[in-house]
Amino acid sequence: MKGVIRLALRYLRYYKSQTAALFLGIVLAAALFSGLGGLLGSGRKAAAENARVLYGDWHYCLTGEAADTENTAGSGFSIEKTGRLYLGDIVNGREDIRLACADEGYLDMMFIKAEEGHLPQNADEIAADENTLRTLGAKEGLGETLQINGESFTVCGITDGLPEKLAEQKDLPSMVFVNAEDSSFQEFNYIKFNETRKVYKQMMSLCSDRKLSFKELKQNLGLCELVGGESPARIFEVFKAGLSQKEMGLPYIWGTLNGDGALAEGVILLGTGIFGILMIYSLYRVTLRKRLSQYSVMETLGMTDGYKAAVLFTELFMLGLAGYPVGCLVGNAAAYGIYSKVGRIFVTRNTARHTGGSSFAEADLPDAGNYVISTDIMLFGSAALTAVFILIAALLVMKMRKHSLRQMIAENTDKKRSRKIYSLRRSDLSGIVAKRFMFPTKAGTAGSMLSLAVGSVLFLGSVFVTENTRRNNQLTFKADDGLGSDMQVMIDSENYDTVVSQDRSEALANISGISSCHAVRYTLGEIEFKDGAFKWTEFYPELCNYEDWQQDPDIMERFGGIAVKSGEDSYKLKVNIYGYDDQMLAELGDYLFEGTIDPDAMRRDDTVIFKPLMDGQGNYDGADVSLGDTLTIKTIRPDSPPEAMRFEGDESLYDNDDLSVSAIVSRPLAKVDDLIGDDGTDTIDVIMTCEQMERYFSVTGSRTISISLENSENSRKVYEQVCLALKGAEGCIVKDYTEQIARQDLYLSQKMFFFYGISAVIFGVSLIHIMNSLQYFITSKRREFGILRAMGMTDAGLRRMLALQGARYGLLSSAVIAVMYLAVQKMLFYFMTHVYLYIHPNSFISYKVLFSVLAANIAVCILVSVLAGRSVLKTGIIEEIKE
Amino acid sequence: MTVLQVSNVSRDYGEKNNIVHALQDISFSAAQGEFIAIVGTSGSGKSTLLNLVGGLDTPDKGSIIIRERELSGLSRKELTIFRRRNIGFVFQDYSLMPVLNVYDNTVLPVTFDKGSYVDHSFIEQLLKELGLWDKRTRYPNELSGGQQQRVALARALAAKPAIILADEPTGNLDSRNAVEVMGLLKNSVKKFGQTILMVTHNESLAQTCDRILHIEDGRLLPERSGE
Repeated sequence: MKGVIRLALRYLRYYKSQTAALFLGIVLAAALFSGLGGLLGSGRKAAAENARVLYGDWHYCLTGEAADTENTAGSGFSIEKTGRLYLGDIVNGREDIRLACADEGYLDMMFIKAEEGHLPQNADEIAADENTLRTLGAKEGLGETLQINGESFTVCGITDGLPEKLAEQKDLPSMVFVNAEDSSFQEFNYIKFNETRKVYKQMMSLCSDRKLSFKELKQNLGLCELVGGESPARIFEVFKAGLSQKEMGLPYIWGTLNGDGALAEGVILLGTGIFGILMIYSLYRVTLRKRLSQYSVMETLGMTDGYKAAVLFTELFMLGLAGYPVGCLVGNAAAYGIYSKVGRIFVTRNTARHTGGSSFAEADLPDAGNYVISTDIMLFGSAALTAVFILIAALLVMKMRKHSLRQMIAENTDKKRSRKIYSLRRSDLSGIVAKRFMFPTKAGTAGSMLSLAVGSVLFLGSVFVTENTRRNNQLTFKADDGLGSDMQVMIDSENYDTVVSQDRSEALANISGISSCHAVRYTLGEIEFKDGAFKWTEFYPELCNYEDWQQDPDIMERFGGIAVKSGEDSYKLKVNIYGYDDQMLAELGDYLFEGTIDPDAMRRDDTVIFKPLMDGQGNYDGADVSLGDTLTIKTIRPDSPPEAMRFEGDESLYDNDDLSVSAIVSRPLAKVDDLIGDDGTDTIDVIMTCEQMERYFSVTGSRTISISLENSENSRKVYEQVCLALKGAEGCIVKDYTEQIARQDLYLSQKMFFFYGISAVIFGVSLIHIMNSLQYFITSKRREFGILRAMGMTDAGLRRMLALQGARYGLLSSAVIAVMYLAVQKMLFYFMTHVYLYIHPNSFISYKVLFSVLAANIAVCILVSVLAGRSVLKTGIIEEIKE
Repeated sequence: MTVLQVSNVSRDYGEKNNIVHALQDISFSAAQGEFIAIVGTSGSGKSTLLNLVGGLDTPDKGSIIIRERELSGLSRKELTIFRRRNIGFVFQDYSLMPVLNVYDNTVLPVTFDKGSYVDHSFIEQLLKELGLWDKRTRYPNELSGGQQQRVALARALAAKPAIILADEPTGNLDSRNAVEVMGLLKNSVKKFGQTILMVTHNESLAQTCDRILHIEDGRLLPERSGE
């Protein structure tokens, strides 16, 4: 052992430039890996904390007395917290409000406390959140007496509501807390495990210990998926479903398993890990080639393969021992700085939007929390690096075994050598010499090119994704409510006839401080798709018979469902019909699939724009509609009763218009989603000009108005004037989004900044690796260059030779970069389109960026070669020959 | 005709208290066609003298004139070009390019001269004379030591230089190969009229040369003739 270490140390000391190059490579790889790991890990932790606030601090819920949750520890599990909730009768006939009684543990888990007053202490006291109290008719609040199921109760406290995301779940009632536990109350036991271990495993252990059925549990998915709540069996099922059903495929597998972003993070870390390993391997291979004869001499003296492998491994391990901690330090220091500034962009979340719907009233940005060093990642990295070192040592020893000792002593390990006499055809052999030095074998060259190309490919890939992310953000925001407006006027009414009149809309446009005002007209329609024209016959729950997937009862009641089967292969679909002004129609061009958007032509030729459905994999072919097709649109006549919205009434209630399709787009802009709903993808929309809306359907008023301000600093003043202008208008709500837009813009710009920044870091690291490798390749041939100089090669001749080889190196590696990148780009484009559902991503990176990277690569190779040549020329000829 | 004139050449290494006087006040000359052996103990300055004559190093004092050109008056580029055209080197460890075959190694210095014509018939003749023609497509690591040294010699002769500087050319060879290489060197003196300066510490080989220069502690001792 001592001998191995001594020999390895001697080699490290003797081949100083190789040691330095490898050390730098390890530091870079470790910095990138641990830094990224820390950033992603911190984001994940913050996401878990954010999820805790949004979903409650619990993992599982068991009903009934089944769970004896008093014993908090057992074999394979450790319960950190428990909470008990008792749910009683419905309140005043409302299914969505129930009496409840809870212990402190539950209240703590749900962050429920009395904001005013106190929780019930007497039998005739109640406490509830503000919305619930208002729903029950409370006007004064604390101290008020309310009738609950025929009994009088005094409001003793106003509490927080349930955590935000939990409250949105339709199967959870609002609660009125009482201080009376009744045996008729249904018991719910909430459990939170110690999160240092995967919670799913702990739950399984608990179920096994207490003889509980896992299927009867309710899981807090929002939190559990971030703390190891995924069952391995489920992962297998997802793969099985994804691979066996064509319409699911990779997007389904990725989308399901990557719900919390863990898979994507793993892929990113894997990519950087591979990059790091290739860097190290390519450098080490070069030096080993020089020492082949030495190892073979040692073998003749009795050194075994195991000893050789041990020496090789020990060299790498000692470098790793020094370089890895330094790299982790550098990486985490950089990551700390980055996370302190823009930490929230690493927190896994959906980008919030604001729409005309009341459910998304604000754009909340996640709380990033503190940077946390990811010791798991660093430990994993060190173990992986050690394993890689072992693999490299073993691979290299195996390679040596392929040659005889005699071949290795003579350094004659090339399988096939060209016997061409170059000087018979060429007058300059210096190029051949340099080429043979820098590209000794095909396999070695391929390996070097691969390691040099990976960094640039990662950079190009991340720029490609970043650019498309930026574009997607812009288009999503714009499509969200129409041009990403600062303010929005919307109608909060179930009657689709309720609108903001044209006069009022026009008056808004004249308010000082408003730069533009886009009134959107709306009506509800129906289109029948006959003879198989509607292909996605299981898109809507009302067309399927799944017990656990039902259409919104409100939509069923008011509209009879969005889709109705009208024949063997025929379906009637409710559609949203929008009227946009010309400017808005022009902006729709960003979402164009086919055709042209020409408002004048639309008015003249009675054509419309068709917006199809989009499925979970970014496909838009749910309905067989092409350019030039005629749509028969059925609409409700003015003054028809609300029941007409079901489109089941007498034909006298409806009009039919035949309009042909002049364009197909992927998204609408401003939307109305409080009737049949519209998230931009789940309904068919028909878009036309405002004049057409008036002409065909007599619609002159607006359902939503998007307002942009000249200066967001005046938003308060403008808001007041808008409210004044709309005073008396039925159902009108005005929302001011200027603050949220500013925050969202800041968030998105920080996110873009980070992505560009990390892309630059990757590019920088890959350039350093290119410089490091090339510099090393050249300086490792000092002796040979000294001989050439002794033979009569001038300084200029040497520089020219090295510059040419640098250019060749750059061209070859650029070709490899281009080929590799094209394959990676295809894969990324597929993911962006079908998994991440980006809107109209560009299918190709900007040529400027691509050619800049390739040119930079070539320029760096030439520059490094010339600079390395300078260092060679500084040394005396004698010293170089004696090296 | 005097091909080489070395006058009062000195060379020191190191600085301040660590100065080593590698050569002190060396003067000698060599005529065309002379085969001169430079002998001395290890560290006496033999190789230093060879390096200075070959323009691989610069003397601190004195002058070196080859073919009426003073080396110190040449720029770095001029010196390199002059060396390429007028001086051939044979190193103890052969110093061949491992990535070129025998033929390409031989013509390598000639190809550095842009516009210079490679006389392939001369190269063929040279390689045949040195017994290397059959091995012209082999690489250095496929040859024996003696064969490699012959390639080094062929390379030195390819540009038809005025002077050949051989630093211990037989140092790594067995006696049989050493005698062969000596024979080849003498042959090239006869055939091509070259002047050879050969460093050796093999006295018996030195005795076969026209002249012997003894260097001791950086100083040239009075001459003794070879035969």
